[in-house]
Amino acid sequence: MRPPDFEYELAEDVQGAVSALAQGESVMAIAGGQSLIPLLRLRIARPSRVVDIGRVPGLTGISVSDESTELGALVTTADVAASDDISRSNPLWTEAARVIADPLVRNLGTVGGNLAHADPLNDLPAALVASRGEVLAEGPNGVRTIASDDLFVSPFTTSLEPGELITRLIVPGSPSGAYEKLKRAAADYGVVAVAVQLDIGDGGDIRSAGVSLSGTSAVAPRSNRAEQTLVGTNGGDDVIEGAALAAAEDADLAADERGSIRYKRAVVGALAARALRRAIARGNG
Amino acid sequence: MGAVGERLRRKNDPRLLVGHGRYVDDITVPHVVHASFVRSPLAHAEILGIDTEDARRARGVVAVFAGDEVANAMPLLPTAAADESPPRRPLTGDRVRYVGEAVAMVLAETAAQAEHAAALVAVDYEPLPVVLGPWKALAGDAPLVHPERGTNKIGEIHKVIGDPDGAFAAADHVVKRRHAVQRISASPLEPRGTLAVPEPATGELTVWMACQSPHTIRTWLSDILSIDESKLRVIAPDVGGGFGSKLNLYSDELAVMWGALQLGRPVKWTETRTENFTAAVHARDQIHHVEMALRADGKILGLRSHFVGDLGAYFHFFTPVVPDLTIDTLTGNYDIPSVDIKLEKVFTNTMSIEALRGSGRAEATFVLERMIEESAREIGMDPLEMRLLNLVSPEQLPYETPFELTYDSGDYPAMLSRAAELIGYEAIKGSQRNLREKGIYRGVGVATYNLLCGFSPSGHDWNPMKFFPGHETALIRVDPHGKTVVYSGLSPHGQGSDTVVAQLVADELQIPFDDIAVKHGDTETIPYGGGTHGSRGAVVGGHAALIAAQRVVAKAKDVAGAMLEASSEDVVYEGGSFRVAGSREPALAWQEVAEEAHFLKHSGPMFEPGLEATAFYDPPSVNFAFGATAAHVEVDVETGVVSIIEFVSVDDCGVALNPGIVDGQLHGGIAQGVGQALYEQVSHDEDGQVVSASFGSYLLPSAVEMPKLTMERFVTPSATPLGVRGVGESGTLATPAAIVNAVVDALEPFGVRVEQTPLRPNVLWELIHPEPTE
Repeated sequence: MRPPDFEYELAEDVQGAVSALAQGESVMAIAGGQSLIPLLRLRIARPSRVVDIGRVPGLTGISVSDESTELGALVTTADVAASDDISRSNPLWTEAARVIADPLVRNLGTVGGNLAHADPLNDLPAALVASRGEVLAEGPNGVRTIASDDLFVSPFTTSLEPGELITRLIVPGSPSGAYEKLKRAAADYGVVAVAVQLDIGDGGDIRSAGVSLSGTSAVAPRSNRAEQTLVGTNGGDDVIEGAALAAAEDADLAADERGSIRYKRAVVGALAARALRRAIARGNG
Repeated sequence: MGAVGERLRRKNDPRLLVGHGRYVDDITVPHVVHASFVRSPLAHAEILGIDTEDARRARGVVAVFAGDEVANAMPLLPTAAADESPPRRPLTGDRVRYVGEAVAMVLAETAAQAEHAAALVAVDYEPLPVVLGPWKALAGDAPLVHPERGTNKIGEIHKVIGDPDGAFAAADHVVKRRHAVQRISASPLEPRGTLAVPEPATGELTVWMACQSPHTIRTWLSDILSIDESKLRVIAPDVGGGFGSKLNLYSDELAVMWGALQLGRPVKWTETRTENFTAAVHARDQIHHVEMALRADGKILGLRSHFVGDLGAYFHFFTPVVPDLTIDTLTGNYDIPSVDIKLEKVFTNTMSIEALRGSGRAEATFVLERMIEESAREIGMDPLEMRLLNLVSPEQLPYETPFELTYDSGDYPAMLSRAAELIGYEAIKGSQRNLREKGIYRGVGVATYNLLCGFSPSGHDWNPMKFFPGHETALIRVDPHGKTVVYSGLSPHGQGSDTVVAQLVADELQIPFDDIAVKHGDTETIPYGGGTHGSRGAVVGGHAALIAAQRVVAKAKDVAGAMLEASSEDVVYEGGSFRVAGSREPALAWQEVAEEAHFLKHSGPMFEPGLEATAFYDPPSVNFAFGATAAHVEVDVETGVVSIIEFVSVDDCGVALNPGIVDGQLHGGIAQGVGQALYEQVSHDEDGQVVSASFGSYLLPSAVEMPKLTMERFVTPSATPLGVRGVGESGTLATPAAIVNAVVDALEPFGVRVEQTPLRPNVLWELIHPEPTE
């Protein structure tokens, strides 16, 4: 189908985008368009105006150190998937980016858009929460930092205020990360996915842990009990099984065409165990 | 060296690959208006009223057609078995019977305006009880899709051949199973499209249409619209796949043509993907209850199936005969002397079932090959061994099946053995135990097929339509430079039949492949043909081209004879030159003869000028292609995900005129078989909504999901002049069963019972991990 009529505005800079977006609830930002355009075509989203932030300068660029990965909001998911630097210092993000939809989507979809859309089936929200990253948001009242735990409110809703725009992601790096996702077919949405980011000491002790999920009723919920099970241990098989079970038990799941709650819970457990094993192996490797 | 048998590149690929294809939607004409349809959101409802006022007032709107009066003024659509068929019209005015049925057509200056206005049409529906599921539709208290018929049952066919009761009485084992073959969608890359251009001054109508059989459409349109065929032109331009779904004349397509005639202006319509999922035909959808009678040693004594075909709400061109084909092919390659097959066909509140690559035969192959697998497992016999014991042997050929089909030649057991060898059947079986101890579940499955194809002769009762030719045609026209155009009645839309026809004609005329152009898909230039469907391209269309080429050579010999002052019987044509038999000089080149045929400079009026010939070919019988497949799979028992490690296809399509094209046809068919086994499904909710109406829900296998393919060919020439057999549908037949059989093998320790496909991860997981019962 074709979208209903809407106004289109090309933002020239961040301030222009912010003032355009601040004009009302029915103004929506578009960057890569990989989520918004299908919603427009299906007439699910009916904005009065679409503000194109895709050419705003200053929102691109990947900056990687051992400590952190910084991404401009307009960095494409394909760029994340292809970055050797990210793969070395933050493999969770590489793995999460590589399983987003198909190459066509990854070539256009942006990391900022993937987060701001707050789709519980998206992958980067879980990666952000697991790695305890934060985003910079610029709005009418200036720039503020939003921690991952404070960004996602409910499906398709973030804590961004009207007029606020994600401009940058700052994500702590760790070699001990992994992302496991079950898709029914390569181009399909995921059924469920598990993001894991650990900080492993020289002695193999897990100093901190981040575990988050995609495909649940909430957007990127943190598996607190799974994290607590891991921290302070050396990540043995029993610990992995326990943490995976905790993640599965605590997941808020809904039955749909992708599977029953029982099925999804089992898959969360299986994927969590696989992601943890890989993350721990990487940390000790 | 000849062109036939060479892996020549398809003539159209460079043009299509760089985006220079011209599909219906790419064609523009002046003064065109665009159509958009209002479709039923309900599976069954009475229409109480339609308010088109807002739509009529919307920007750019030219006309809105809706309502009982308008619908009844529209002509009826052609259907199979017209006596039994409920009437089908371009728009429905009183009642809707499936989600997606067209209720109103809006015509506007732009496509966007038409779509916008269509959203403003308000239809007042009184919902009616919905009937879904074939067995429920047969129940006495089921809501009726067509109340005037008094029942949802369309008919019953019961074939009892041999002595099935005796076979079952004498059997050492009787195995019973249920097998469902799910409903699927053809999902062509190009949805449907129609551009109708009327010429009011002359009464002519030209129709560009994404279709597979333009002449059939023209003849039907002549009847329907009362326009002489001489004033009708149907053009199938580049068509992006059909798989049978574009073989019909649809209600929306006819509405577009009717609207163009009403307005006296061109009307264009391009189907959206969402529409294609509900308004283009579906396929398969059978449920079988099967029993197999076996001797202790595994010999199959008899087969019973009571099955039901859910045909949807209306008949299209082949709707009621698709499941009939399943009956007649249900014994496949196996020597099963006694059968008792009962088919009931029903209407439900869903889109119609139609032909789709392998139609009827794919269902039969799946049910049979799954049934043999289950039988072997139940009696503790190796499934491969049981197949080899029961396959029709080469010594039994020619073999007449219980359904009076005569298999001519081939070696079915050798092909199956080879497929098993290529997949490493014994090695896979041998390593299963060790792998299972490590939590790795791998399995191997095989299946065979026999593809009934090249449907002919025209008058045979497989053909339920008044106007549907079984023959094929070719007109070959040589120009004064010796270059040649073949006007083929085939209407290829991705198959590459044009390339194959050029190869055949190149060899017969002894001229270079590149000197031949092949035209098709335009009733104004092409002699009357049947189009492309049913694996008939080479089998029927190839022979028409061959015969026409032979006639052209005969004519060229007449011309050469006149030039050489010899009788044409004494002229030989070899190596691309004409000479008098026995003499060395002088010889004439093809081009010299072609020129002389047109200008008669040297030989005077000793022959009729021109160098062209037409052939119409109606084969004396159907054709068969056969093969064996094998799948090696791994199942992740924690998630239910099936990975196909390798897939083997051993196929016999007789002489392969272009091995690359044969491979491509098999690859595509196998892809659709993979889809049937693991991914694709048209699903309805309890209200009859098509919940799979996007590729987010209707999963199509992509390149990523395609397994490693190992292909090998057997060549048993058919009894036709070219020795060819069909191949277009072959891959769809045995692929799903081989994959499912392999999954069942992999999961042997869990004892899963698979009764339906697709085996999506969650479905398979639930079978592996059944909910504990109290």
